[in-house]
Amino acid sequence: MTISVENTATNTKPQIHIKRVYQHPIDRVWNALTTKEALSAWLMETQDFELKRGHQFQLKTKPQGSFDGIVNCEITDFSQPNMLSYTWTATAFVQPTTVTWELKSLSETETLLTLSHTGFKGWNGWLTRQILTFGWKSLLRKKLQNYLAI
Amino acid sequence: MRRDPWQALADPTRRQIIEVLTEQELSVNSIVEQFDITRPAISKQLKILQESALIHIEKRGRERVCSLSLAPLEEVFQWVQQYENFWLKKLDNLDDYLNKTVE
Repeated sequence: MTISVENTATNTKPQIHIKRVYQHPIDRVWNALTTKEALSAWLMETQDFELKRGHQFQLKTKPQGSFDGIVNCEITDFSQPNMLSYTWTATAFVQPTTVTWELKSLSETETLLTLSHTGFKGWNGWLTRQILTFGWKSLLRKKLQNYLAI
Repeated sequence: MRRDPWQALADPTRRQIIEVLTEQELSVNSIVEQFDITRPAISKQLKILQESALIHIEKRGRERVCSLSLAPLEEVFQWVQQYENFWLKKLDNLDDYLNKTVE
């Protein structure tokens, strides 16, 4: 598996772009991105995912701090089996961001996946992203660890 | 008095104030207008944010203007690698999932 991560630490508009090659045919990877059972197994639990433009669904994980563990999503666009894009909104005060999956078949058994997570609004986005992934509690815990390490 | 910026950010109203200031600098009056809280309550929150060095409050004529100050949270930028880890981990999970479920 090859990995490349575009580290955007110095950008004022942070974005995540990750590319990976999976040793599986494109249809299999596509199915893993677009079925409830698969998403619940590797991403986060979902009861109501459906591959329909405008469809809203939730992804659930353990609550952490003020993050209630629920990510609200709405499918904005897709093109089977190459592209799927949805909004990604965690907790009420956070502005929606966008998650886009792109697949490209490299051979019958190799698929290039590009994940983009964009729409973080400037500085606030940094906190947003931190909260979205770790929650406030863990933010504070890390802060505490930094103190303890001194 | 110097406060811990992370503690200052633990309060939802203060986070909302920070959020509106990410768009533009604002006078104390216009912040008060945007929130459904009394002026003294907003002033108290602004004072805490100021003491945490998260915002500057500058006197301009008859107005007091608030703007964001980013320095205290610069370390957030150093953590970017960790934030990316969320997706990296999930993409690892995807690989495991695909390998496990081979037809």
